[in-house]
Amino acid sequence: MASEVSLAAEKVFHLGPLPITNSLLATWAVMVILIVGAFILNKKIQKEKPGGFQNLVEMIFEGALNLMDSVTQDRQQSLKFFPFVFTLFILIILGNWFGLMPGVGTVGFHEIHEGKELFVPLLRGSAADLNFTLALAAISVVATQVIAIFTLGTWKHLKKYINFKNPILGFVGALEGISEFAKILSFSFRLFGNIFAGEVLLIVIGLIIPYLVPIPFLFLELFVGFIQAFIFSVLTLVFLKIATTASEH
Amino acid sequence: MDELIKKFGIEPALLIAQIINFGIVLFVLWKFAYKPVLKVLRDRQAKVKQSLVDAKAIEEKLHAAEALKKEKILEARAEAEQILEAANIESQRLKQRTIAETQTEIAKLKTQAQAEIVAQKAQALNQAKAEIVDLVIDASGRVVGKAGLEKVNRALVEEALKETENA
Repeated sequence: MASEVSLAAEKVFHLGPLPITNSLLATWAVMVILIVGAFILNKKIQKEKPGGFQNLVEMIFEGALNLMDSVTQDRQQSLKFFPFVFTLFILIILGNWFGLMPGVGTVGFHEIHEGKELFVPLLRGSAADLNFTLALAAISVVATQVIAIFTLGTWKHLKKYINFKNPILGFVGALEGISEFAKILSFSFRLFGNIFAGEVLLIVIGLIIPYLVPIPFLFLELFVGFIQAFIFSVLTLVFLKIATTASEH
Repeated sequence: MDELIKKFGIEPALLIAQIINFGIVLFVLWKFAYKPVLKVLRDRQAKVKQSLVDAKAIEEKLHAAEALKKEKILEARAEAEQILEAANIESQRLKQRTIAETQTEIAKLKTQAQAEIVAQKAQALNQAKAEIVDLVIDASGRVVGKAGLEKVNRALVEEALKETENA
């Protein structure tokens, strides 16, 4: 077990210019699960008599759409945002839960790095790497901007941030502009911080008392994994909703 | 800042890789999960809506049929009552007629019987009269015969009888 937990995801090997980190591997594993699941679902899909898997998926989709309706107040808009928001949710939650599976973070190899022997786990929760969360945060914020421009038009959207008519509104606009960048940071560090802290917590508890005691913490981390995915996607949805609403002033 | 980026292990290549990952997942899920499942949900919803409309129409039809049934039953009942009443009147009429006929028949039979009785009585009387005449002749003949007279004139006896009758 690692006595030192690295903030950065450890590099397992290099693939040309792309360093393959253990978090990237975990993300790929989650992607494989999702893609295989999607293919199975697509093959089994039936109109009249949905099977167990399809039923479950339909139930989750319906629930998600109903929840989204409570934010958008508009089923049409919910349906429009659904693929994007739900993909964020499912990717983050599966990444978080995958990081809690036995073997993830504990199975690995030792490497001599700068004269020190380091333990490199083969897999690491995808959100325990800032690259993953930063990428998703950037996608979320950029998508918000793009959708705002598509629904409101470039000029109307820019007026939210740039305003010369009134010094107060100009200042508010500038703040709004800064907040868009702050959003990227808050999105990415919130998710990264929670999941990384959870992994560290589990490692520490496991080191102190390895039997039974970590189990409630595992459940706590399952819950945290869900909540963080939920927060990330719902915040994205809220920002999308705000972005498609014209500014009042 | 550089140190921070290094500490967190941020690398543009990794960022781009994760963005591509998200894109792939989004595309695959969109194509193979969201689109078909949402379509199925939409179709089913439309079907449910349609069947609700159909159910309403069926219910309305049922109500109309029920009302029609009630109306028909009432009509039939009224008709039956009418028929029953007519039948009653007819039977009453028939009964009256039969009674009257029977009564006249009885009366006729009665008069006939009376006439017959009277006739029989007259006949019996005549017979008795004749027998009495014969008896008187016989008896008086016997009495008179012993006295000598062979025969009493019948005409005489009858005349005597008539006289007694008239007296």
